[in-house]
Order: sequence, then structure tokens, then C-alpha cells
Amino acid sequence: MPAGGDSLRIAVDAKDYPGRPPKAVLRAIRLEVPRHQVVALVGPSGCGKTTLLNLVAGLDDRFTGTIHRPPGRLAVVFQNPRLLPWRTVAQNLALALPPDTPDLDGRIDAMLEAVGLAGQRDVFPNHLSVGMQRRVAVARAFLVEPALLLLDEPFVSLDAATAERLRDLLRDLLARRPATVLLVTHDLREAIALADRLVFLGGSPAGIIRDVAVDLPRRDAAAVEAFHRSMA
Amino acid sequence: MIVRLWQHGVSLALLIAVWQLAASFADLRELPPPLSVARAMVDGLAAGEMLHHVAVTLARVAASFALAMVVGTAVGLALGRSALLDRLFGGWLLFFLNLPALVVIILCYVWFGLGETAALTAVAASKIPNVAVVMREGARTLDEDLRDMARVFRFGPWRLFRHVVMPQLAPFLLAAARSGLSLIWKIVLVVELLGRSNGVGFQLHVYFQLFDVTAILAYAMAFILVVQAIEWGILQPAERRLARWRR
Ligand SMILES: Nc1ncnc2c1ncn2[C@@H]1O[C@H](COP(=O)(O)OP(=O)(O)OP(=O)(O)O)[C@@H](O)[C@H]1O
Ligand SMILES: [Mg+2]
Repeated sequence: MPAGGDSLRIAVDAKDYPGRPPKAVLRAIRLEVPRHQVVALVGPSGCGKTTLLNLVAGLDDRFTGTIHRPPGRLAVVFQNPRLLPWRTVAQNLALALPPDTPDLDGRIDAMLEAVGLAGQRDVFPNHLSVGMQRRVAVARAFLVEPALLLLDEPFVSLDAATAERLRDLLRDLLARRPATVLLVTHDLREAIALADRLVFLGGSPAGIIRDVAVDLPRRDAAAVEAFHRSMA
Repeated sequence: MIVRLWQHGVSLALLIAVWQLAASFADLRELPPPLSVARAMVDGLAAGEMLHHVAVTLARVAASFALAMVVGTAVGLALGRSALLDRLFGGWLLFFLNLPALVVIILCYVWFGLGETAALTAVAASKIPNVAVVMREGARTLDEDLRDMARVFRFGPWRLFRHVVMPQLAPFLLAAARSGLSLIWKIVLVVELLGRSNGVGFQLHVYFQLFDVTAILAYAMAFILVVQAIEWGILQPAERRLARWRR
């Protein structure tokens, strides 16, 4: 794929957290993600995946290097749900969209239906289980129809069936409205099932240690399992 | 709820009974029984005079309370959000916090003359440091994660303020308002006693010179009723509304 202006280009030379001594987290990360590609970021806990997503989201500019984001909206599913506890589920979703969005309520209802929370529209987040809060956060990110979507372990703490449903939903939504996606996950099978490409982070400070294309024509359980075995 | 109301009723009845008992032993002029005080209060209200003075005091409380909340909140937020400002002026806050209200009142009257401006300034000024300290704490605890979320989802300054910042500051505002009100009530009376010619404080002063304990207690009762009305009518509903989303 040609490297256009619409791709996500990450060039992080160094990211340290201040302290005595400073903590070196990321070094020499070069990653070009073409438009509408889905990349899974895989790496051990504490290696710097969330740190990298924060840089890509533009929430942290204390690093050396450059990041070029594709034009259009950004959406993030953070590792913790980050809902406003004093606003209802529907209000939380509405706030992610401009107030003059046409058919705001209809879109919110449809999205809540899609993540299996149709009845929870007017509930406060603290009155939901953690898994349900997570689904609200996922709904919020999908709702803005982003050009760049960052997901930080979005499907953990969900039961297998719900996680599977949300993975299907993500695939569905991306098929209807493609986006460039960075998906952080611990679950290699989930990564294979969803991503076009697996990027492995490792080392300390962390860098990219492996970059694998996933070219599976079909993503059924058997194909995912076969690919998973072939990687070992 | 019903049980709680009952307990409040019993507690109040007990207080009145103790008062009645004490009054029966004491000199009538020094401690009149509850009924005479109640009658004096009703008469005073009916005559309109008491209503006028209570209203004047109420207006002073409202004005200086608003002034103290606005200035105190602005100062507190500035200090809470900027480490530099806090290092520069945090010490000043401590100084003003420990300055007796009476000193502030006297200085205001000396500097600005015995007028309404001086009175309101004095009351507000003695309350501003408390509000500032509470709001500084509130500003320090603002959630960075939510601010980041708001940035990603393009809330803009108004939505950020209204839906992210304000709800986090609200409990602090309410705490500041609560402690602020109870303090301001008292300071306003002193200010009126020292340099005004109307208001509850002024009236108390007059009746003190006349040694009219019944009238003094009648004013005190009217005053307590107003404070309680504000507590039940405004502060408690506000608190309940704030608590709706909690677990
Ligand atoms: N604000 C911070 N200040 C100092 N150190 C930090 C900060 N945030 C993260 N770190 C450190 O940076 C490293 C990477 O953290 P990060 O949260 O990016 O890991 P992660 O790969 O997302 O881990 P996990 O899979 O457990 O979420 C960790 O060692 C952590 O201790
Ligand atoms: Mg993380």
C-alpha cells in the first residue's frame, strides 16, 4: 500500500517518565499504519502499550519524535472506562457528539442496542457492572465514527460470549465504516481474529520486536487456531 | 423518614421543656418562658418591624455570601491549578485565614467609612480565605483521566466546564457554601452591631441596651427559623441532587 498522507505514522525516538532516575519506557519505535488498517499491539504488562497509545492520542507530548495522525475524528476506548459518573449512559454518549448532530437520540439508542445495553439508557454508570461500563465506553468510541480508533484492551473483564459479540460488532462497524485502528490486547487469538497485522512490543525500554501480517481470508475459529499455532 | 421526624420533634420538645423549667426558676426579665418569646416574635413579625430588619440582614448575608463565594472560588481555583501561584500566595492565604474577623471589620470601617460597602466588604473578606482553601483542595483533586477523555471526544471549553469540572467541584462548593453561610450569619450581626443602623445585629444592640431579653430571644428565634428554612429548602435538596449518581 502506498504511504499516503492519510496513514498513521509513528516515530517515537524516546519516551521517558521523569523521576530519579528517569524511567525509559519506549525507544526507537517506527510504525506506519496505512489508512484503514487494523493493527494489534501485543506485549507484556507494563511494557508501555498504554503509554504509546497516549502519545498517539496526542494526550502526552513529553517525548522526542513525531506522530502524524490521519485527518478526521479520533476515538479512544481507554483501559478504564472513563465515563462521567454524574451523567447517565445516554448523556455520556451524547457528549461525545456535537450538540447539533442530526437524530442524536436515534443513533444513541441504536448503538446501545448494538452493545446490548438497550435498557440502560438512563442509568448512572456507577449503577452498572464494570463489564457494562466497558461496553458503554466502547459504544461511545464507535458512535463518533472515528477515522482513527485506539482501543486499550477493550474486551477484558467481559464474559466470553459478550466479548465475542463485541468483537463481531467491531468487525461489523469497521466493515460498514472503515477506520485506522490500534488495538492493544494480551490475547493473541483475539489479535489474530481482528487485526490485519500484529505488532509485538518488548524489551526494556520497549521497542517493536516483531511485525507480522495476518492474511487470513476467513477468520473462523479454526483459521485463527491454525494461525496461532503457526506463529509459535 | 417518619421516625427521624419523630426524633427531631421529641428533641425539640425536650429543649422547650428544659427552657420552660429554667424560666420558672429564673427572673422573668432575665429568662422569659418560651411562650412569651414566641408571642413577642409573632407580634414583631405582625408589626412588620422585625420582618424589615430580618430582610435587611438577609440581603446583606446574600450579597456578601455571593461576593465571598465568587472571589474565594476564583482565588482557590487559581491556586489549586497553578503550583507557582500557590507557592507565591499560599502563605498569604494562611495569614488572612488567621486574621480575626473583628480586625477585618474594624479596618474596613476605618478605611471605607461606616457605609454599606465597608460592611459587605468586611463580611466577604473574612470569609474569602475559607472558601479559597476549600476550593483549592477541589481544584487539586480534578481528575486528569476525565480531562483527557474530554479532550479526545472534543468537549470544548463549555462542555468541559459544565459536565466534567463543575460536577467535581460541586461537593466542594457546597461544603464551602455551608460553612460559609454559618460563619457569615454571625459576622453580619457583628458588622451591623458595630456600624449599621438597621438589621438584626443593630436591633439586638438596641434591645441589649434596653435589657429586653424577650425581644433579643424573639429575634434569635426568627433568625434560627430563617437559617433552618435555607438549610431545608436549599442546601439539603442541593445535596440530595448531587448524591443521585453515587452508588
Ligand atoms: N505516569 C507515569 N509516571 C511514571 N511511570 C509511569 C507512568 N505511567 C506508566 N509508567 C510506567 O511506564 C511503564 C509502561 O506503562 P504502561 O501503562 O504504558 O504499560 P502497559 O503496557 O499499558 O501495561 P498493561 O498491559 O499492564 O496496561 C510501566 O513500567 C509503568 O510503571
Ligand atoms: Mg495499559
